[in-house]
Amino acid sequence: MIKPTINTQALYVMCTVAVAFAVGWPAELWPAEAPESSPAFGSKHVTVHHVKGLVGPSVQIDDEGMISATWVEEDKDTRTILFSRSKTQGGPLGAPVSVNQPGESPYYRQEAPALIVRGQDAFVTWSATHPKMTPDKPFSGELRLSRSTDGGRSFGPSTLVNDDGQVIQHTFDALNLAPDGVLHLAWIDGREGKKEPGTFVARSIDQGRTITKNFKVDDNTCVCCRTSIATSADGLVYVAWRKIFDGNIRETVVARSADGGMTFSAPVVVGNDRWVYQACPHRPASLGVDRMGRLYVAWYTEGADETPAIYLASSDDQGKTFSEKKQLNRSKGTFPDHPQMAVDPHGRVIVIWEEQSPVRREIVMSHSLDRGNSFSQPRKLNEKHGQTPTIGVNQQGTVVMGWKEHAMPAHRLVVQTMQLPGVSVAEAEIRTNGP
Amino acid sequence: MDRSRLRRMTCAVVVAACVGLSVFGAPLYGAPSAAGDPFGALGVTRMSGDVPAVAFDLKALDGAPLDSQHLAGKVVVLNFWATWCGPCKEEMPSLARLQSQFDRGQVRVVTVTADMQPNGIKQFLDHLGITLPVLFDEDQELSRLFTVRGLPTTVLIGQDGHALGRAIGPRAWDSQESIALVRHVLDRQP
Repeated sequence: MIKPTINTQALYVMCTVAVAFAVGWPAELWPAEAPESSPAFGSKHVTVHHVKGLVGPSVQIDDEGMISATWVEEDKDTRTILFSRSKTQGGPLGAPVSVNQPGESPYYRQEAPALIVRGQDAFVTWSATHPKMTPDKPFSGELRLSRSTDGGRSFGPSTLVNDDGQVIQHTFDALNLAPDGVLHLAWIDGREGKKEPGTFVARSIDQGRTITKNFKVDDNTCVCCRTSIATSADGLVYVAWRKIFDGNIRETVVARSADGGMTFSAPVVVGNDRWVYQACPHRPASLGVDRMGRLYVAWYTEGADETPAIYLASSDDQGKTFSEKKQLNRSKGTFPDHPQMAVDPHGRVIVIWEEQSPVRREIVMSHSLDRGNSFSQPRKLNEKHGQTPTIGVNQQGTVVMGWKEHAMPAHRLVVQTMQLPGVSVAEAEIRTNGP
Repeated sequence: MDRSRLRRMTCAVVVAACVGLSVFGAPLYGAPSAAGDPFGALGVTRMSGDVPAVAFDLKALDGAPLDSQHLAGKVVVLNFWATWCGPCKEEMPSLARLQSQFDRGQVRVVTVTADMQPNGIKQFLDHLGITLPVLFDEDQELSRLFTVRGLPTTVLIGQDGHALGRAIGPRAWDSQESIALVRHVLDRQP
């Protein structure tokens, strides 16, 4: 519980500032949009969870419009990875089922499980408490992959992803299912015992039954910024993470694979942010690819001037070079945080993130219909204090957005769909400029 | 406006003022301290010290609540950390050694985590022989109010309850510079 300690004079001044934030901020942030470019929002579906802790969610939407979500709950020292799927388009979520089996002990962490749903297959990666954990290595975990083949009604025993056997952390994972059915995984792994861990990858070519040999993509990975994976229609695999360069410079980088994830290029710096930071930012990048092969990257940085910002950049040459970065957050009164992005085949881009001020914790989204060239005004989504936003989109441009709200004494998971406006602008640009 | 909302707003603005956020768009962490002073020697950013730090009442590792009122009149080294944060774990022994240099009646090193890993944290501290208090900031509310945006972050609070300095990233808390800084704060006239 947090308690204020303040004298009367200071209270007057501070309340004046607070009221200015509370009254003046929304009008500046969210002007009305033109109707023809306005997305159509579905209903918000809220589930209330009376548990001690909740992490997540991760969300997906399939081409029939069914929503899936996964998250972690902790209650009475028991942790459970849960999965839920809607029975109707746009929600609400159905009754949750346990992803982990009895005897599989999830390791509580600050990240939601990663989730991919394709047809009746649902894949979830999560961190399990290491079975060989010892008192001198108390925070060790295995990376596990769970699979459902019945649309999420049940999950089988999980498969071990990391092949090193070491009693260390294997976490901050990402998951993607390529068009050819190969499942790609990435995570952060300190198996080599170096001061900084590395970014590791593996694949499954048999729908998650077995995992290929792990290999390292690169060294000097920022230890706590989650990895991200995207795959393209032309068979490329992209992995993003935050890399530490000399002088503690933290840059979002992307490596690509042209051979289905068997080898990766050297990483390419996306934004050249020059952010010097000697701590753990704990803020991942997010990747997406449209059907023309444009790669999009959204990320958080404080740059050389220590100013928090969310940026987007794109690449039309398979991640070899990137466009000038475009700042997405516009508010002068809040700090942006934790961006997540989804890209549909037509190049419609949706970014969701937090806007924080001393008195607010909002979830906002902004979309682009022209392949990232311009973005709508950020729009507020949440009602209570919102955090950990997440997003998915299907082939038809139907978006699902999810986040957590804290409403003492319970946690709320909120999901909401949104239908993006037509693709004429994006398609016109493709016709004019080519893919 | 209901009382709880007023309380939240007031509380939040107190912290905002403490950490120098009154002008958004400016560098997040304020200007670095000048070299040659005890703050600058340890790379600790000075804070205004004009406004009281936020009060708190959080559950500790042993299950008992710790109310910041019990820290009144002491210099407090408030360290925010997480189990997945390597630099946080590396600096923890030096925080314990810093505590050992001072009377707990005068200086308290207190750690705060959003991780719900009480058993693992207990094993970790026991293994290292560390007895520092660990408070659980389950919903990261205290972290947010202190504008903790990276880990580890350590806030130095004076005897008058005012936040005086902030270190982002690990430090050698048992170094001469660190001990000198705490002594400097201890000798400061509120």
